[in-house]
Amino acid sequence: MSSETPVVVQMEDICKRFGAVQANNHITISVRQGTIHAIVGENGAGKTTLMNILYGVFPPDSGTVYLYAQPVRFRSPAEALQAGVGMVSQHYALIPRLSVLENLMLSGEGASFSRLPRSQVRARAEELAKAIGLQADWDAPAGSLSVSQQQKVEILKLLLRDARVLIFDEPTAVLPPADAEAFFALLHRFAEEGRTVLLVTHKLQEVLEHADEVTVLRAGEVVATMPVREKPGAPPQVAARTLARLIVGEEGVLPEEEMLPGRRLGDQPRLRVEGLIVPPVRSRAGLKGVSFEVYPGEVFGIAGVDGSGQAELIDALMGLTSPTQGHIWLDGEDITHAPPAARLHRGVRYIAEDRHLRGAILEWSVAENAALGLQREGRFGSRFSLSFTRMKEFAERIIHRFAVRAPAADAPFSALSGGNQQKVVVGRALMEPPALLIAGQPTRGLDAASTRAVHHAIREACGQGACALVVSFDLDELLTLCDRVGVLFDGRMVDVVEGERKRREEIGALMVGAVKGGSV
Amino acid sequence: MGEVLDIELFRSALRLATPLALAAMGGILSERSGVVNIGLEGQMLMGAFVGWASAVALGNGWLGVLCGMLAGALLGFLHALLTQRFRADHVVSGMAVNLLSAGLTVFLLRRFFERPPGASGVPEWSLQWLQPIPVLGGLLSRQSPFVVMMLILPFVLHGLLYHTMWGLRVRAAGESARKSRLAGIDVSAIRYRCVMWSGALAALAGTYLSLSQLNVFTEGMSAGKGFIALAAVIFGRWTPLGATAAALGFGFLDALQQRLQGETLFGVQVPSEVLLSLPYLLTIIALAGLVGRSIPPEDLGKQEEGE
Amino acid sequence: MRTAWRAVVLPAVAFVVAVIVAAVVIALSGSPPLPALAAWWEGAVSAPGALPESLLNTTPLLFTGLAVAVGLLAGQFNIGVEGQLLVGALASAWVGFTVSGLPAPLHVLLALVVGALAGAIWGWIPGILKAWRGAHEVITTIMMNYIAIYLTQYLVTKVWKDPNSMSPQTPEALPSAWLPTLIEGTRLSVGLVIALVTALILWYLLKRTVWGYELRAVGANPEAARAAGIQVSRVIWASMAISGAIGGLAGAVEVLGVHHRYYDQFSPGYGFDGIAVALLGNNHPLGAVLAAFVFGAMKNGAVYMQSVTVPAVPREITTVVQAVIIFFLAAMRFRQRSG
Repeated sequence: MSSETPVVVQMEDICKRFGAVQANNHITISVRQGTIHAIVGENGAGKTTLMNILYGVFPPDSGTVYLYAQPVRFRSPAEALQAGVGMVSQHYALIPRLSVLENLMLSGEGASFSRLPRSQVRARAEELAKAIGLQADWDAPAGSLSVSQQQKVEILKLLLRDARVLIFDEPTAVLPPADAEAFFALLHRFAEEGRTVLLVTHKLQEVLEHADEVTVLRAGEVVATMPVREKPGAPPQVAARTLARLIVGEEGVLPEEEMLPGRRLGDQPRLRVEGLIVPPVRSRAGLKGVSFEVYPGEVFGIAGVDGSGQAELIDALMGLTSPTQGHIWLDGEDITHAPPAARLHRGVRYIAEDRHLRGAILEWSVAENAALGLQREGRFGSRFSLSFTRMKEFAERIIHRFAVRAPAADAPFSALSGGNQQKVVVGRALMEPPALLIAGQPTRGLDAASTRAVHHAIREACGQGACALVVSFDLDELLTLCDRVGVLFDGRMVDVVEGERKRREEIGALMVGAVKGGSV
Repeated sequence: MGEVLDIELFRSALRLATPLALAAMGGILSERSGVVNIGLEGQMLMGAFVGWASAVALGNGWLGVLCGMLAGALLGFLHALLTQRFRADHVVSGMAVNLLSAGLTVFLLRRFFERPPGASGVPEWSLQWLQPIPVLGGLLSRQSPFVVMMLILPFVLHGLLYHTMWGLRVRAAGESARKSRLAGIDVSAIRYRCVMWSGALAALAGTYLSLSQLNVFTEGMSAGKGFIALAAVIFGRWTPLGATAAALGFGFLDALQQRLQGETLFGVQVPSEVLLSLPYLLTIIALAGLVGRSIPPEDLGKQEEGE
Repeated sequence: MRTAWRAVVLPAVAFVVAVIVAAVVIALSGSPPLPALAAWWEGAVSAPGALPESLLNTTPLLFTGLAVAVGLLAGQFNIGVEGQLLVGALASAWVGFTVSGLPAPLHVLLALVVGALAGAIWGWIPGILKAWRGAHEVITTIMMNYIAIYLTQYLVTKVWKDPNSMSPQTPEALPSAWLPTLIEGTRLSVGLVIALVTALILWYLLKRTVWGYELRAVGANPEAARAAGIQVSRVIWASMAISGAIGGLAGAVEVLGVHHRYYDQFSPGYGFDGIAVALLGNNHPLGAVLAAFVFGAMKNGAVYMQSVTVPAVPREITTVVQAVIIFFLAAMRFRQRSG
């Protein structure tokens, strides 16, 4: 594209602050018509905030947004849609209990007591659906559709309003690679039609393969804006490493930093899982007979598209659900149906996927949180005489050992930053080497330094004889932290890769069943 | 047994079901938009008092009804203000509404009405043209307008909820406030309106109590009917037609209980207390999922963290 | 510091605001507010015999407040304390007039225990329905209230009615089942002491035992509690049972200490007042003690105020005060799971 291609979206000097965090700091970006413009950056770089401002979710504190060279100030996404700007956000905005048709009609401007325009919308939807390859039962509840279908319905919502500017926030986060390919084909079609696409992503591969231009954000600021390719279809003229370096900055750690490889510390596995079966529920695959072993000293990763059985596996290992068939042995003991308390007693420790949901109690102090899960161990006193002082001491030891930045051990947990909260949760699990550590997305939402700290802590614990199971959607994390990676697909462990085979392409292919796995 | 099931029993059932159904319509509106309204009881009571007191002061039953509904709407506004603007817990606010009504109504009654006079009530309608129709004729040709309202309102509400944009927006607001806002829906305005209408409808039910038969207000007149209305909402799966059917069922049980005082049923003397407890027992059974799942709107009663 | 603000200052402010609102209502209703407030105070504490009567009112309110607070700390909103109170009262009255031959301390103890047990069952039912079937306890407890009303009404009018009286009441309990008086010449029984002891025991249990830790965890974040090995279901129904037991005790103490028999409709809504007490006391057992006294004294004072003001200020103004307090605290995002 030439520099004569008109600029469709111009965001100038955008600032937005949330409490203590300057999410967007004087950001200026321009997007030309008919291009796929990628916006990359780490978690917390400000990408989503910027797009939310463009989409009218909230206004900027200062700065102006120009659409077709006219300043605009959208007071809501509905206004943005009316102007032709639409967004498919990371967390789909479909209301599961309403039907697909009702979801499509929802953003319409009909007067309050007008009849629902069912037939008109249905007719137009069917027309447009064909163009994007969507087949769905319009009257079915939106929640019953598959993830890819739901995304297409979201796109349909935008097409129904003839959106000329389309924003996608992490669109392929939970899509299997095959669907992701189809999605990008669609994006290219939109670009050819003259629509403008903004693509927020952290996956550099996507940027290199599909984007025309890229803007790199770091800590709320624009670090660079550059063309990715001369024209659509041409090879990229920018290297992944360059972009990666821009994303993390000079002092940062390159995502592909190598970690010390682990060593198996024994030939008897500490964790043995055999033939685990958990029935599927809604769009989750369940477990269809999963077997694997983890040895002391080993970090075993679990890869897979969201919904392939990871959550069921974690719940089964923790004792929150009972498998209908199969066995779990820990250090030789059958714990298949043991309650969570019994497993905690035997040394199973858990780093929750969502610390706010399962890992901690925000209203409590750090000290009381440090005791969570360990309250019956006896180290804080007897059943009838719990000592808050002892909890404080324990918390202080965690704070010291894991370099947690906290005002005091009896400060409220909510006063800590996300990274430090996670360190407390990790520290609680690792103060003494557990028998088995189950970590679900242990570094989600953490910055590079905290991530490193958590990885080191896990490695250290394993070095002392523990074994760890790390479930993550972040392939980089799995590749650098784990010795072996088991891949879940549709409820089965299709393969376990290690050594040379432990590569991104290999795992990616296994994740979608493109390659039949080994004999697991 | 046969002599019990006569037309008078069903007329009685209709009358007894009316306040329940009217309040239940209010409950549905509020809960469908995402706001739990336990305060139906208090709004009903306040409606009964204000309706009666206004009818006394203004000399007209229908004006009394209007004033009663306004009072109910005001209480609804209070509840909406607390839950939407101040993010108060829905149940706590609802209980406070009940408490406020209970205290204020008696306070005002004792303060200003030494000997509470009868008010101009709302007389029955004579719909002679219905007479010839079997069953319906006997039931409705001479009935209170409130009863007629109770029978028509669910259909109106059903049409509004499921076949208009307004209804779609209300239901969306109740399922997910966040997603509805993204779709450009003013969730706050919807909830305020729905909760105020909810209070008005509950108050309407209250005015039926005080302006339709006895034309006087007595302390604690609502006697838990607001809670039975809630039960009807749950039992009727948060649908207008279902809740009205449930209310009719409860009204029938109440009528039956009154009729069976001292009589025997299948040779056993059924204590009236058993029949009186039935609506509550049935609701517990319904909630325990023993008759299918009870699925409220998804976002019902949820507090959102700051945006 | 934040906790001190929430625990003490906020409720105090709520109280002051509520009294101001009450004064405005009184003024609007045509009575001079300041003399009314003065009479209110006098009737509550300063007039002779006022304080013991206020303390008498405090007793059931403290029990019901503790009952609601325990539930709230476990994340359960027990609105059924009224019903639990009724069944507890009737059960203890029954033990009082039926069981003979037991010496005084044992008889009272038995009656109290049976009353608490009855309340526990009444609380346990909604608890188990919540734990097993997810039935929302707010509705089920309200329903249980009405079932309790009709059940006790039936029993006291048809089955256990006092044959020597026209009123719907049970026969009088045997003297061996009476709670001894605390202050000579007043109606105040040792029930108050029992209530205070209950508050202290509850405080210790919640703060210093594993059971209390786990209960509070479930109330604050049931998901995290489950992951921490806590048996959430058990905590739910156990806390509802305990809550119900305390509610049952409330009724039992009223019967054994004040009326010495059960009569229909004896409770002016103590169970519902318990909600206000719990909220004003920030769900803390010791806060409940203070809050119960505040409300008990207010109620007492209002009776006096009604009798001496001209034109008479109806005593129901206290209910209005309670409502305003709850509104105020609820508006200040007074999360029910604090304490």
